[in-house]
Amino acid sequence: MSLPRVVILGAGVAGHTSTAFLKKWLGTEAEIIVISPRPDYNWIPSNIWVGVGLLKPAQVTFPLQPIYARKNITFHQAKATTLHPEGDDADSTPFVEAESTLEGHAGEVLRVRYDYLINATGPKLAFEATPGLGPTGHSLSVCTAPHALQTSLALNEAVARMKKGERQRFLVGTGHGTCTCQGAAFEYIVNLEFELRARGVRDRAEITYLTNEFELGDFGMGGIHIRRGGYVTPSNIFTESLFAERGLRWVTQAHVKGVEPGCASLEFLNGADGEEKFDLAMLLPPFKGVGLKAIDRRGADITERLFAPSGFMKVDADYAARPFESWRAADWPRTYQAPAYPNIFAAGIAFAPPHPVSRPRLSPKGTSITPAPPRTGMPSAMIGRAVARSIYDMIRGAKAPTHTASMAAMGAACVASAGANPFRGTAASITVFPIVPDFERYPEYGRDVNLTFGEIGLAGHWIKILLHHLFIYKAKMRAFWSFIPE
Amino acid sequence: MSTEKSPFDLGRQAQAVYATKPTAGTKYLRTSILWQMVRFVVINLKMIRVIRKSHH
Repeated sequence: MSLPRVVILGAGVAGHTSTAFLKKWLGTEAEIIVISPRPDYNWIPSNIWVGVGLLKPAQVTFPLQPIYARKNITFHQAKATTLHPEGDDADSTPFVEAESTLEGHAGEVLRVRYDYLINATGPKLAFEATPGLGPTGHSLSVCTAPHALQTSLALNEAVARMKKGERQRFLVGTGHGTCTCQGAAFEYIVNLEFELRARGVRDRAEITYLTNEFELGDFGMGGIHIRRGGYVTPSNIFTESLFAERGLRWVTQAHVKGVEPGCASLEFLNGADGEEKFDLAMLLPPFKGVGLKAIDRRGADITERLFAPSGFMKVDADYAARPFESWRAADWPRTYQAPAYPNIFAAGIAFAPPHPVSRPRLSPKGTSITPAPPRTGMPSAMIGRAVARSIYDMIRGAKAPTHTASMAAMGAACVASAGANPFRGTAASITVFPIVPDFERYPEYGRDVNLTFGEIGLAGHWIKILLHHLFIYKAKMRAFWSFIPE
Repeated sequence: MSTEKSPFDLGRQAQAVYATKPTAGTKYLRTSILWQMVRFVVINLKMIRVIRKSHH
């Protein structure tokens, strides 16, 4: 009898966490196969430091093949394109089709059959949503290590110009009205400001933060409330304080309509048009699903059954459209099992959220200027682990998923760097519980203010350094890796 | 040297008027090695508490 086969699409935080735990728990009881288009693992939170020239790409990435070979995990460097959850006429075993991205084999189609599938394909960086956005257009990014390297080289050129006496305008933020990951833009702008001070050119820089948030500190989570100094204070107060202290200007409620050389054209929530001039712009793209298709046994396209229009996979969430006031914590998925096929799960960014967390807003022209909900980092890893445990139990006989990881019932710890130096650096250490507000359980703020916390200081920077090394160690699956929490 | 402010500086200063600013003491404590060693322990304990509460 052949071994059960688990296929994991993607080797980012969610996919790699699932893979590592499945191998640890199942050992030789199952065949673990990873399909991922890139040969490397990237510890994305540290891309920020690559983007300001403090780290090299090799310090935030490592090749996956040797790790998987050591652990007896099969790795295909390929981009998944089509799911066949009912198999085909010849064999009802489900399979996935993928196109090789391996040098010398590019475009070759692989067919990999599976008993269980985890879709952890992460996001497609949808630069094309805004004309001129992105490294092939007129702005930069820190979403991947090569993007971050390109940004650091552009920063070096800008610094060289400032050293000759020129003033430079920096524009950092979100490149579309529906972007998520404002935390990354926040980290980049405060690190950029710190680095310009360290290089002695801060006085020649005009630095502007451009965001789709209704107000600073929203972070796609509807903001958070922190107990501090005898008050429960919203996060916009702290974020504005940080920016004002550093001489940063901010522009909120903005959708980027297009990016031309040196100029971003904007549409604001109130319907007004505007523009921001720049010499260097680091603008994040919106995220979409990677564009997987699904085909049934007879060859009919069933993509809409498995995927939301955004391209993210439908799971056990409540996707019924409701007004903001009727959103509930219970709308959010718990097991991440696809309702249409119980042997398919989605983990990390690949699952379709039921709705944003921040209040949705449209401009008078009908443009959505609403941050999408964040699902990166700790929640991705926790979801990956829970999904792996459910599959482990189902292989051993459980009829249904046994583990849950609802973002409305889990917290997150986040450390946002605000300047990298072992003695003068700082970082904002933040905990929230739960990630998605639960106003039935916590009527006033949606979150437990005893567990939701934030402070800035050097200790946060030390923790950020520690986490960088710990999580790369863990991802390399070295001795005792599983003792390091997600 | 010209003292005329750029549109950028005018905008930045207008926003900063209404923003909370840290006192010198708060800024000092942010990078005080001894105080931050204490905070390192406290923050880690707070994070461990949230992580433990999040695992099901």
